[in-house]
Formats: sequence, structure tokens, C-alpha cells
Amino acid sequence: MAPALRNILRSRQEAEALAAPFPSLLVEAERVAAIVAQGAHGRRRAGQGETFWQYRPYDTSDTANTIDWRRTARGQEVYVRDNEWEAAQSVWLWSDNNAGMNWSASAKVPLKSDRAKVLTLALAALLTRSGERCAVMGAQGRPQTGRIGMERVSQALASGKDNTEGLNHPIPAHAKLFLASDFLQPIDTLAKTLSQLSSRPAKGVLLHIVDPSERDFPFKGRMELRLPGALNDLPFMVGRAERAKEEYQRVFNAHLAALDDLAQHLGWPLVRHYTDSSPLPALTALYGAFSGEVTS
Amino acid sequence: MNFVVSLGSLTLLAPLTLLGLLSLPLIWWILKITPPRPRKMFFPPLRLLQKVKTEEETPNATPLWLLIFRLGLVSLIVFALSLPIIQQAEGINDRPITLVLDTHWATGANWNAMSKEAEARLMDARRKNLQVRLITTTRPSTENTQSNFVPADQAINRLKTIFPDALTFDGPYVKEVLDYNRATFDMSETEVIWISAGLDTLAMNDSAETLKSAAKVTRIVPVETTRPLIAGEVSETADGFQTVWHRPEHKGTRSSVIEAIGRDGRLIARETINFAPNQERSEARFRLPPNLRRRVAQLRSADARSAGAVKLLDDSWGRPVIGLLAPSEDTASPLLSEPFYTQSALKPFADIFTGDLDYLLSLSPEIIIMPDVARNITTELVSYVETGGLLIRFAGPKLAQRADELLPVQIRDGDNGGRAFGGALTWEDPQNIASFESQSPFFGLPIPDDIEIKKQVMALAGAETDSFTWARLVDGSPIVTAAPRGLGQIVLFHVTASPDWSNLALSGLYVEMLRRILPLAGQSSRKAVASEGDWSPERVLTASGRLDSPAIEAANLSVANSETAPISRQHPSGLYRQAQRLKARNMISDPTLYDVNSAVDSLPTEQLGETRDKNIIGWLLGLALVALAFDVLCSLYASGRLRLRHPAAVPSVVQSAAALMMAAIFFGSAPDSFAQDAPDVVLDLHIGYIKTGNGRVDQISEDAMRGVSAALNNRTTIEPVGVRGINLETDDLVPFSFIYWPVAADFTELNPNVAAKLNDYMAIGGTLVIDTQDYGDRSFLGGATHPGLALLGTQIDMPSLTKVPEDHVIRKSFYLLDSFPGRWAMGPVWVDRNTSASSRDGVSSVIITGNDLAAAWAVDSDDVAYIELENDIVRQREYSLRFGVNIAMYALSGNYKADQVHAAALIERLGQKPEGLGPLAPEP
Repeated sequence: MAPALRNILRSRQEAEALAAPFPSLLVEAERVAAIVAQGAHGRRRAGQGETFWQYRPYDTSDTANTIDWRRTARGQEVYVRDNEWEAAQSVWLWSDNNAGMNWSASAKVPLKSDRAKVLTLALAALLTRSGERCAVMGAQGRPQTGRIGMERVSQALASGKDNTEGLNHPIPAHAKLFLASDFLQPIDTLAKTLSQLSSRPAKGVLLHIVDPSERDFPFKGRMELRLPGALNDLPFMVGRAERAKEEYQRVFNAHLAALDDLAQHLGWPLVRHYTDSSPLPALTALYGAFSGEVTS
Repeated sequence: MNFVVSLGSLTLLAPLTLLGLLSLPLIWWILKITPPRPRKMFFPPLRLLQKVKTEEETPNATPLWLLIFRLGLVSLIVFALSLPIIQQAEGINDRPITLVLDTHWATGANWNAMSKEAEARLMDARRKNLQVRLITTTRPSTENTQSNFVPADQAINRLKTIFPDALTFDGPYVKEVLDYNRATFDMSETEVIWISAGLDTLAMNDSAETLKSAAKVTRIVPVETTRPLIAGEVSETADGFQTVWHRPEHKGTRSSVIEAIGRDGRLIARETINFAPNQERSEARFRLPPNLRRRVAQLRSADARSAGAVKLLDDSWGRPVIGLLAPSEDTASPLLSEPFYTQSALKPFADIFTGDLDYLLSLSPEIIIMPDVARNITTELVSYVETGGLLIRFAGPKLAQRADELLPVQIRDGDNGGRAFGGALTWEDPQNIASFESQSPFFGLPIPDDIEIKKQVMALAGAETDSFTWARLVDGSPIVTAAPRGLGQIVLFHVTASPDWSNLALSGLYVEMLRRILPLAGQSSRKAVASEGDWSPERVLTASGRLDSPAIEAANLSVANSETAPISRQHPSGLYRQAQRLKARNMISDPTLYDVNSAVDSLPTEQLGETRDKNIIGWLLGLALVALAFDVLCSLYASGRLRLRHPAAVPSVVQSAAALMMAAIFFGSAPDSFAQDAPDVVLDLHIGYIKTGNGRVDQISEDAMRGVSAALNNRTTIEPVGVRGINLETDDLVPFSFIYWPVAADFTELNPNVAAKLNDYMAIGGTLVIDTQDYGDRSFLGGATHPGLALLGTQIDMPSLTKVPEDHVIRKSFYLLDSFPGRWAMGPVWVDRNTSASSRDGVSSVIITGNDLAAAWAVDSDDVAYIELENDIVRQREYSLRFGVNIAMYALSGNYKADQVHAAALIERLGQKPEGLGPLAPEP
């Protein structure tokens, strides 16, 4: 079994375990509106659906088979039965897989890409369970729901290849996007990429994965640092790492702030997750972001 | 060059090495400028970091703590190489030293400690470059007696040639040596160290006075409980004997074990003596039956070995068992009966039993005395004499009428009453006894003037008669004759036992003569040898109380001064022989001489063994090595190659690593012992073997014991549950009925405690199966002594040995065996010559072989034999196992198997052809 495959199987198991305690979106929707049928969200207006929405007086534009005869028989007027409009959302997932994601500062902390995949899969599990249709950008043509959709997503995530190109994948208008990455690219590049996606038009949720040593810079003494995936570059020597710490943290925090600004500007919720902490809060936040987005 | 620095108790032998500390700044500088290796890492947000303008590339130096640690390490090595020594001796002394070293007998058990002490003192003097004179307290045999001040080096060399002598403190000699220097040297400018054996005599007073004038006197004495013991009187009691022991110090309590040793060196009995506080003497009471009592040849203290703590017993010792043949009917007047006089004469010296022959033979007496009235020449008496008994006969009317065959010489027959003197019808006067000839056992006895022999039986004259005569009348006719007969001996007094024929029976001479005869019992087969009458030294005592061959300067002792001559090099203490007689000269004749307060007591004393130079170089270097190993960890850590999960864990990791190293150093070899599960060994039968320390030999022994115990379990009712390797130092031997012991040629001397333990084990009935495992090599070693066994023999009470006799129990204790093979089959097997050792049920205390039994018995973990044998005989391994079974059966059941257990098989075999021999398995 290829290591990549093993990794993704493990990621999937973790993801399912992570998703298990969450009430599905359906349950959440029930809590919010108590009108949602299995597999779809109520749109809170009359339309195509199976759930009763309202009786209204017959109008001539209505076809005869829409008349609710049982209600009509109780009174003098003829009533038509309206059902609530239900529509399934399609969610497009993207988990960054560049060389910098396949990294963690110590063996106790999982790889950033692993954590990103786990959260992506967990989210996919929640979404498909509640009837949403999911697909991985650049790897799947058509979003699918249910168990099958989950399988497809996990297969697509199994690929360890750099998938930056996937962001250019054509997606239908008004689709939901989910992007997980460490977002360490220069902020201009990021702004450009995200606004392109936003202009399709699409709305999205960002998951920012941060390794704790990226935040804390806990190094001391002489360091010889390299950029992952850029082995041919000259290493960057730091004489006394502890002295560079403060300056680095300043720059890093500025980057985070810029990223937050960008997300706010786009109107995309941004969830920040540190890999040394439990993924559950991040999933909760993502879940909230999705529910709020969908149900608003 | 002897340049030494002393700082209090610390002495540096090579202080110049400390100049090496000058290299520390250099090391500091080198360590300081060598940057640690950078830590290589990937770092995704490197682009962000690159925006940070880092300051100039000054590498971090070696951490300060590591720097200090390394400098400490270097200092430690330098300090260790300067050869530091910790001394417990106080003060700096620069006066020449007079070292008086006791070398007289009392050094005994303390000699090792004393010579070590002397050596330590001399070494110290050498370091301080002092002049030393070494004075012994006995006059050396060869050297010139003057002892000058010499450099300590020479004194150390001389010390190596000094050994203690079995002599008393030689006061005049010591005085002489001390005075020799007094003219040229002021005594008050020297320091005196007297390493004493802890025994004071008045002879020391003179020397002590001289020594007191020195600037400083220190007398080093051993601990009170190791000071010498002095053997005193031995006296016989009704049921044994008792001995008095003295000790020089009276203060505390003290106990010691007194051993009664036989002529063959075997332990016969032991008793503990206890000295109460302020009590100078103590008595040991031995309860022994007469036959054992007679075998005791020396008494010695088991723990305070010295020449003075040995009491040698000679042939005047012991109460023989004497049978007195009584006439069948009692005479009317007992005072006139013949047995009465003999009985009265011997009563103080022997246990006398009176009765008829059947009764007497049942007592198996050493001597049977047969007065004429009880004449008895039955075949029982003849066979008694021929199997080693001593028969003392007295003449009388019956013998005068008719001679019989139980006589040493031929008697002139037909005189009808013998030869009479001084009667009315005789020409001759009654005669006295002529002085005794030198080969006579009576030699040296004074002859009273008033002895009158009125009547005697006459021996036929002849050369044979002459040589058998022990005493003659003045006219030369034999009055006491003796001749061997078979293994025994017959002594004939040519007069009656009563005063009928002579007044000899009324004289003291009669008693003395009978006394002289008593020791001859049991050794009468010895031929009388002609001697000039001097006592010649046979075995002499060494200072440590062992019997040894006499030195070349030991001279014969003339009869005249045999009692009075002092103990000297010419006449050492020990056993002296004159023809058939054995005489003991004991070291201490008057123990009370040592119970004095001599002037020596006032000298300041120190305890022996308290001054030791402690060499700490090894410890320091070892510590430096540990620190060096630790430094590897430190430098790995400092360079980031050894990463610790939590920085806080550093101290604990360091501690545990250090503790681990210390533990490995100090407890590298914890002795394995079965002390904790001893009850297990005691409750069930285990087969033991002695661990030699040679891993291969021990493994084979272990496998062999498993093989034998499997055979025992399969074939016999002996069902051992396990095998034990015995560590002689720590383990108890008592649970084992026999122990297999491979003794190699390179066998090293046993610790005295261990030897005592082995002797105890053998004395209480244990059997050692000693295997030299070298019969194959014996063939080209010839008859050379086995060095290991020879050494062992000096340490344990080895009985006198014989090759296994044809009728020995071990040949038939389970299987019938006619060979005892191991890896080889032809090597002899030796057992105790005495098969009737009563305390051990006839079981030999040792079984010695060279056949390598273990090789034949050893089985691997699948119970398959794995050592190839020589196959000298067919089915050799099987017969070897049978021998093993026999040994176990023999050790466990003793002579029980000597009875007719195989009678049926033997009778059956008698019906077969004689060559149908071969071991015959018993019926299951």
C-alpha cells in the first residue's frame, strides 16, 4: 500500500471519528428551523419540496392536481397545499498540498497537510451526511452527496500532489468554496487568487493552518534554514535564532493581520487552526461558518 | 627524584604534574572559539523570516556550563596524575625510624596484618626519605645481628625476607641491637614504631626501657580478640580430658574454638572455650570415648593459630583400653592375686577391664595382660595377637612347667619351676636388673637398688633371644622379652605379676616399665631401630602452629637435657623421636610467664590495621572517565544533536545517566547466591557442585549434575529435585550430602574461612567428590604432583587415602562396579583408607578421581549427552552414570549397603564362570 494511500486512509478515519460527535447539519437545521426534511434545507418559502409549508386559496394559475381535497372538503373554499422550497447546495473543497504543508517542526505535532485533510474530510463528512453535495476542486467533475460523495472526496484528497492548479477549476456560479492552506504566499498573490474566485461569483470559508513553531519561533543558537521544496536554494543561516525571534514574530503577525483583512474584505469567514491544538474547535468554527452562511 | 608534597592527610607523589593545570587557559580559548555545529531545519515561513534583517553572523560559543565542566574534567585528570594519597597517619615526621617488628611465635595469625603494617610504615618512610632500622625480636639464623640505619628501600627489601620463627622473644638480642647504635646515634632523635604481636613478657622490660628514651614511641598491637592464646595443661578425666587455655589480655570477653586433631591431621573433636571478662584462663572439656581419645595427637586453637596455641601430645598421652585376663575362680586373698598388682600399677594410666577372654575380646582392647594363673592359649587369643594385639604375659608356675607357643622367645623346658636364686639350695644370690639397653623401650628408666629377682623362667640362649630382649638381669639372662607375632606383639615378663618370684611387682620400676609398654600397643609391628639414644626432631612447629619437617639446623636432643633445654633454633618445639618413642616439646612450658604486667604496657599503643595509605588515583581517574563519558552527552546536547523533549528534563536525564554509570561501576557483579531460598535447598534433595569461577567448567558441572540427577530419578529412589552451583564463599554446604568439585591445576588457595567450612562439612559427614579432570594428561605428566590438589590437601583435613579396595561399599552400593569411568576409564579412584570411620557411618569424606566424571554425565538441554568420551571400555557412559548413582547411594546410605544386599546376585555369579564378571543391575 502506497504511503500516500495509507495516509489518506488514516486521515479519513480520523476525520470520521472527528465528525461523529457532531450533529449533522440536518440536526442543526432542525434546531434552527425545525422544518427541514431529510437531505435538504428548508428555504422558508413555498416551492418544490416535500415538507408542508402552507395552505393558500386556489388561484386559477394552479393546476387541479395541486388542490388539497381534504382541506377543501372541510370548508367552502378550495385550498391549495404549498410545500416548502428545498434546494441542495454544492460545496467545493480545496486542501493545499504544497511542500510547505508537508511539514511540522517536531514529531509531536502532525503535518500541516494532514491536519488540513482531516478537517476537510470531517467537514465533507458532515456536509454529505446532511445532504449537501461535495467535490474537491480540480479532482472531481461533479459534486455528489451521501456516502458516495464522501468516498469521492477522500479519494481525491489522497493525492499528495501539489494542487495549486485546482483553484482554477471551473465551478458553477454561487457555489460554496472551502479552502484549507497555510496561506504563506505573499499577501498580494493571495488577494489576487481569492478575489478571482470570489468574482465567479462564489462565497467561501478559509481554514488557515499554522504550525506552533511558525507562530512561536522557539529556536536557539545557530540555525541553517531551508524552504521546503526548494532544496536548490542556498540555506538561510541564522547566527542566534533567539535574537531573530521578536522581529520574526512581528512580521508573522503582520501577515496574519493582512490575511484577516483580506478575508473580511471578501466577506469570507476565516478559521485559524494551530496544529498543536485539538481540531475539534476548528471544526466547530467551520461548521458554524457553514451553517450561518447556509441558513442566513 | 623523590619530591613529595603533603597537605594534611593528602600527599601528592608527583606534584609537578600539577603544572599541567597551566594548560587550562589554552583549553578555554580553544573551546571558546570553536562554534557549535548549526542545527539544520526546514522552515516554511522562511520568506517571512528573510524579510527580517538579522544582525551580523556571530556564532554562539560553547555554553559556559559546558566550558566549566570540561575545565573541571581536565583539572581532575591532572590532579589524579599527580598521584594523590590519603594517609591516616598523623603529623609530619622527619626523624629516623626504628621499626621493631615482632617475629616470635606469638605473631601467629596476625603475621600478615603485621607485615603489611610494617610495609606501609616503610613505604611512608621511603616517601619521606627517612632512614630506617628494622629490628626483629628473634635472632636471625644467618644474618649479622647488627642493624644499622639504612634507607627505607633497603629495609623494605629486608622485610620481604623476614618470617616469624617459632621462638620466644629474644630479649638479649633486641637489647644488643638497640645498643649497637646507641654510641653513634642518639636514641632521643629517633621515632620508634613497635609492631607487636600483643603479648608481653618480662623479657621485654629491658628493651622497653631503652625504647622509652626515644622521641616518640608507638606500639601497634592487634585487636584483643586476635591476640595469641596459650595452651596450658592437659589432664585426663574419667570421660575424656580437659585442657586449660590462657590469654594475655584479660579485659573483654573472648571465645575460641579448640580442636582436637589426630595423628593423621584429621579433626576428632572441637570445643568452644569462653573467657569471661577479667578472666585469664578458661578450660575446654572434651568428652570422648577411650578409643577416640587415644587418637588425639594435638590440641590447637582454630582461630588464633600460633605455635603457642598448639599443644602437642606424645605417646605418654591417652588411656589405652587394657584387658586383664582373670583366673576362672576367684582366689581367696585378692591382695596376693597376680592381677591385683598389675591392675594397681596401670590404673592411673589406662582403662582396665577384667574378665575372661570372651568378655575381653568383645571390648577389643589394645593390650591384653595375661598373668600366669589365667594362662589361656586358645586360638582366639592367638588370632587376637596376630591381628595386631599386644599381649603382656607374666611367667609363673604354669609356664615354668610347660612352655606354650604364645611366647616371644623359646623357654628352656624341663627346669620344672625355672631358675631360682638365693634359695637354700642355690648358689647364686637374688639378682637385680641390669641397666636398659638403648633399643629397649625401658631405656633411661632409673633402676632402684633393692630389686631382687629370686626366680625366673629361662629363655633359650641365642641370637634371636638377644635381639628380642628388653631387659636383662645383671648376669645377662633375659627378664623381659618381646617379639612380634603376626601383626601383634607378645611381651613376656620372666617373673610373676605378683611378688612371688621377685619384688619387682612392688617397685616403682614395675609401674614405669608397664607405662612404657602401653604406647606400643597398636604399633608393635614396627621394628626396633638402633639409636644412640638422642631424641631426634621428627616434626617441628612453625610460628603459625603447623607441623613441618625440621629445618637443617635442628639438632638432636640428648637425653640429659631433653627436659631442660630451652626452645631454640637448634632445639625447636615439635615432636621428637627416640626409637619407638615419641616425645612432644611444646612451645610454652609455663603459661603464667605471660600473665604479667611488663614495662611494655606503659608504651602508648595504637590498634593494628588502622593506618592505611589510601590510594585514590584509581578513583579519581575512574571519576574522570565517567565525566568524559558524560561529556559526550553534554557536547551532543550542546551541539543540538541530542534533543531532549522537555528542557526541564535535563537534570533528571543527567542524574539517571550518572546513577546508571555509577551503578554499573559499583555493582557490576553482584554475587549470586541462593541464600534467600535456602529453605528450598534444605527441604528437598539437591545435588551440589562447587563453582570454580571458570564458566565452561561450571557449565559442564551443572549439566553433569543434571545428568546424574536424571539418572537417579529414573533408576533409584533417590529423587533429587534440582541442581545447585555452590559458591564456596557465600553458600552453606550443609544441605548437600555430597558435592562434586572440579579442582584444576591452577587451583588457588582457599580463604581460611572457606577451608574451615569445608573441614566442618567433612567432619559432619559430607562427602567431597574431587575431580581433577586430567587423567588424560596424567599419562604424560607421569607421576607428577597435581598442584591444585596438593594445595587443597594442605588446606582441608584430607584423610589418608587408598585406591578403592575390592570390597569397598562404593563398588556395590547400587550397581556392581569394577571400574569407575568418566571421560577416561583407567584413572584410579581414591577414597579414605579407613572404612570404619564411626562418626560418618563409614562414608569416605573425599572421593578423588581424575577421570572427569562431569564429561560423561553432562547432558544438554534436551537431556542428550554431548561430550565425546575416550571409550576405554564398552558402554563407558553407562558405567560412568552407574558410578554416579553409586556415589549418590553411597553418600546417602553409608555402609548400609555393605551388607548382603547383593548376596543373591553374588551367589548366582559363583555358579557361573569366573570371567562372567561385569556389573549386574539389581532387580528393580
